[in-house]
Amino acid sequence: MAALSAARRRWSLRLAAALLALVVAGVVWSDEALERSVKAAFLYKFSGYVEWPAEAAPSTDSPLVFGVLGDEDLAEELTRLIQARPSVARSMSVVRLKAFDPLPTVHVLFIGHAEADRLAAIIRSVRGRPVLVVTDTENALALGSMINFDLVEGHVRFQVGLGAARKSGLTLSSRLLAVAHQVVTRSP
Amino acid sequence: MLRAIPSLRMKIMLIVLVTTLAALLFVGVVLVAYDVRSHQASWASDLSLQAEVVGRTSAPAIVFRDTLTAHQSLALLSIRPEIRAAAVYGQDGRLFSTWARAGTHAGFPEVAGNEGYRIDHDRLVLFKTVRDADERVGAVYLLAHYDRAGRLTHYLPVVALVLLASLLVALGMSTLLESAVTRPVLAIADVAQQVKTQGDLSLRVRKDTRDETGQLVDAFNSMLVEVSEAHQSLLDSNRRKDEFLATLAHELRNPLGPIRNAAQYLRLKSADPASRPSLELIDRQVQHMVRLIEDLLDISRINRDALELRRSDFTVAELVNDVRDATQFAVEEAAQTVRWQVERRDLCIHADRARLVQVVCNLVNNAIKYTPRGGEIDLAVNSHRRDLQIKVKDSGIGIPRDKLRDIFEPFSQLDRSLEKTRGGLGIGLALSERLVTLHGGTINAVSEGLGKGSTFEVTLPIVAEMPAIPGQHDLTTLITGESRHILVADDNLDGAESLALLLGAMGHQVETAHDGVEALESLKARHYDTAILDIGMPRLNGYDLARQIRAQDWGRSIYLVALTGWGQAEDKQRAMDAGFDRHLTKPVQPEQLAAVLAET
Repeated sequence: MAALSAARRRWSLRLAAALLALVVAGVVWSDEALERSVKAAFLYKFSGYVEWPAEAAPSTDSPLVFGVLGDEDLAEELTRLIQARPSVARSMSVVRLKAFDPLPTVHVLFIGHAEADRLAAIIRSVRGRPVLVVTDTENALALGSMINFDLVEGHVRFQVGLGAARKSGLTLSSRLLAVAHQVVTRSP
Repeated sequence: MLRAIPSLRMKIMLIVLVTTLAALLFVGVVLVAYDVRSHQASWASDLSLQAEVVGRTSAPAIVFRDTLTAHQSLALLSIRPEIRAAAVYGQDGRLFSTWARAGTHAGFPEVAGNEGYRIDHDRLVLFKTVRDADERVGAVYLLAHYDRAGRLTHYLPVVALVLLASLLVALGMSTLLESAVTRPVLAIADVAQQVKTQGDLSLRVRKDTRDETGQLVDAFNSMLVEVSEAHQSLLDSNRRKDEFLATLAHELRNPLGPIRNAAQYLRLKSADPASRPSLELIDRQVQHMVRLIEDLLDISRINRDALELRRSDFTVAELVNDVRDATQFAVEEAAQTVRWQVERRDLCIHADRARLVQVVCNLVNNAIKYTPRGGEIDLAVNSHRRDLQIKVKDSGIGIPRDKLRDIFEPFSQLDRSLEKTRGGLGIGLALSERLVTLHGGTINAVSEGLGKGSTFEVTLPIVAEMPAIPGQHDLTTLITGESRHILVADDNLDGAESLALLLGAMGHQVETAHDGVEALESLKARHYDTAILDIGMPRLNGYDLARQIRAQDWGRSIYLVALTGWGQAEDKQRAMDAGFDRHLTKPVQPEQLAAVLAET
């Protein structure tokens, strides 16, 4: 018994050391990459807390489509994340978009920081359509974004524009709101 | 333990209490054990649900890495006081957010464990997987304090209370019901006790159940019936035996009087010297037979409590002479020596002379019987204050120590095979013992064992202050010069004739009559000085005859002597009431006859 628990303790120590090594490596590797992967994961998870109007809701026939604009790396990360889950892969897809391309049917539209200058115009182009607009630019909520990433004390957080989402016919789960850094009810 | 308790009721109560207590304790232990287990299980599943709720609540926080919200969700657990600490682990299994109750210093596992719970003494550790949209996103960890002692202190008083109440109920019920079992048994015990103390065999136990105790009551009652019937028939047969003995002795004795009288007559009259020894032999054997029959009669009298002592005053010398006379022949025949040692010959004693002689003769005869030819017998008579002590010591076969008490039982003989050769009914010692007891004295036997001889000691409180009366006539002195005219009336022809012969030999003029009427006629016809009348005569019995004689002028002066087979005081009294002057019991001793006649 003592031998066993001793062995277990040794094993736990080794594991902890390995994990610590990983974390340190990650930080050294790139803060930016880590931030991107977190955002991709959040983006993927947001879909679980959003309800689309019945006619536009994703179903078995029409998979949930992520449109990614202005952030190639994140699109790649998101694609990889979806592919890693075979059961999810069949019901979700990622579409890479360019600014001012005619917008195909998407459920979630992510507009990267690269498109910050044209953000207002892009958001305006999808206004009224049941699309969850996610942005990565300061003050984007004022422009009609529904979820906007920001950094709080080095951690990725997000703000929610509840009014904009309602206008587009989307319902955001209260559980999502509970973990949001900031919730803005007033619509722009 | 139960055997030591003297009361059946207590036993039943104890059995009920012990059984109930054992059953209740068993149930109590099982209940407590079951409760502890089930309570623990339900508590754990309750906590597990709690963890599930917290997990679901904190799922978005885990997903979106919101430690603050996660902590807030965990802090909700503070409403459950037994939860000491909680933590949430992320999707990678690493510690994400923790919460601990104030004052609790709990360490948290670095990595989430497998789903499930584990109870270690009073600590419960639980891991619950958190799922979000069917996807495992993390785990919830709970550390709770399981208060087993608290639960027990909460539960045990209830069990104890129930136990006590059940015991009281059981006790009450058994008190109400036990009487159904104990009442018949106690009734039997009660009646048995009464039968034992009062000897009343007519008692019965009332039966009011039909179970085994009822059967016991029946059996007991029928046993009582049997015992009382057996007892009754024993009494009856004993009474019949006594009656038979009495009748037998009477019937055997009746012919002896005439035989003896005839022998006496021949002895007085016979001129042939060659026939004298034969006549003496007849006389002695008849005397012996009379003694045996008297013994039998006495035993039956004693058994019927009908023996009475006729006390008179006489001297030790007279006692010694009587005994010597009565035993001389047997002593000589056995070629034995009797050494007399008499302290005071002139000492006056007050007792039934015949009975006392009988007692001592019995002892001497016994000594003769059990002592080899040529042996010696010591006979000592001493006195101390009121006690007369007679000691008969022989050098005979002795008595085994364990038989010393038995020898005074009637019909008991030391060695039956031996006894056969020596004769006897086995009543001599028994009779002696009764007679001594009647005199208020004691008798005991001392023997060193077989072959060592034996000593019989009689102690009697009979020493009187009065001086002794002079001694008695010799047989030859019975022939007096004075001749009387005597009528002897007896329906027993031989009895009448032999008595007439004897009286004639004494020098009297005698005539006989054979019933009451004939006697009355004779008395009327001629003058008689004396009439000796049998009581049990046909046509006119002795009592009525005496009354009629006394009623006549000529009859007032006649000397009337009653002759009966019954020597009781009441018989005597009846005779006196009827007008008799004297009363004689059959068989009549010539000396008695002479004495009675001399009194006129």
